[in-house]
Amino acid sequence: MTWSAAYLLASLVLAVWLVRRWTRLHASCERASRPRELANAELVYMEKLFRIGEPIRLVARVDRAYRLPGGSLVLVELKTRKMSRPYLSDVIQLSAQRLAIEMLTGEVVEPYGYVSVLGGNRKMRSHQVRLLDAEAVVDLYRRREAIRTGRAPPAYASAESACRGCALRSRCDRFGR
Amino acid sequence: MPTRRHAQRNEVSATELAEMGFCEKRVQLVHLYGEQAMPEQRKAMARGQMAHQRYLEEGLAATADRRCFVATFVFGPDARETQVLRAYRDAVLLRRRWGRILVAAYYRVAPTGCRIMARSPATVVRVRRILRVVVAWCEWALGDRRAP
Repeated sequence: MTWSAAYLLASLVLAVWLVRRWTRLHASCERASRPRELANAELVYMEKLFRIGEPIRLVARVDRAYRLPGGSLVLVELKTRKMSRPYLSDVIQLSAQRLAIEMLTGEVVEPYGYVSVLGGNRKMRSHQVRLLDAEAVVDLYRRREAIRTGRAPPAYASAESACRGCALRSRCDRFGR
Repeated sequence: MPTRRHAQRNEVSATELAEMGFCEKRVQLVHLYGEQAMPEQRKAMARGQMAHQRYLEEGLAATADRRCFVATFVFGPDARETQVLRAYRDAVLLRRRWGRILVAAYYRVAPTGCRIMARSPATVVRVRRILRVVVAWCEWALGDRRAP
């Protein structure tokens, strides 16, 4: 009798633990993580790679793309960082993704996208950003090539604080080295 | 490593191009000396990869959730009844914690239910009758929610 009660209790504890674990795992479903404005959109691409050769040789992996009821796509990029804000680099990344998708599939991608930031408190917040047009992305690609081949002088990070965590700081001439 | 792979093909990734918005000097230094990262940055990258994996799994689970096993079996995938039940799931159940648990539990048992129904046409008729009542109720509930 005592053993039966012990088995019953152990099974109950195990069941409660499994339910709690499952609930925690599934509490944040895809619906909860998508931007509010995309509530009626359909998730069509996840971690999908797009590669183009024209107008530039570009490869872009899309975190998520949603199709609006009107048929156009909206891009969402996931970032993990303490500060819940989008940066210029996020805008460039999404703009390059947009160019790759439009060139490869011919589909219309909205000129805005979302940067969903997962903060340290495990809460996700989405920020809408306006994307660069194709011409600006191509110009940026050309400027990158010019910098890499020494044909154009590079600009430094806008904030010096960004240099603190840079692994290439010792090789950088910003601080007169 | 990806940088070198892309460089060989004169190809740039969206992530590499995005570096231009952070620091152009770093882009030049990475080209000259290769990608380098501090231990904290490596940890952050690992955290980011894990978060992306979870993000992908959530997305995959959501697209798999388009199925509505029993209704699809009884009425067909594009039937009005199936659409109503899907709409109720998306608009009501998936927005609540208890609802998500209920949907997940249903997805566990529903395939077995379908297998039983496949062997018994009489059961399909009975389930269809019951589901019609459920669909009517869901339709009423959805209409009530949409009303101003």
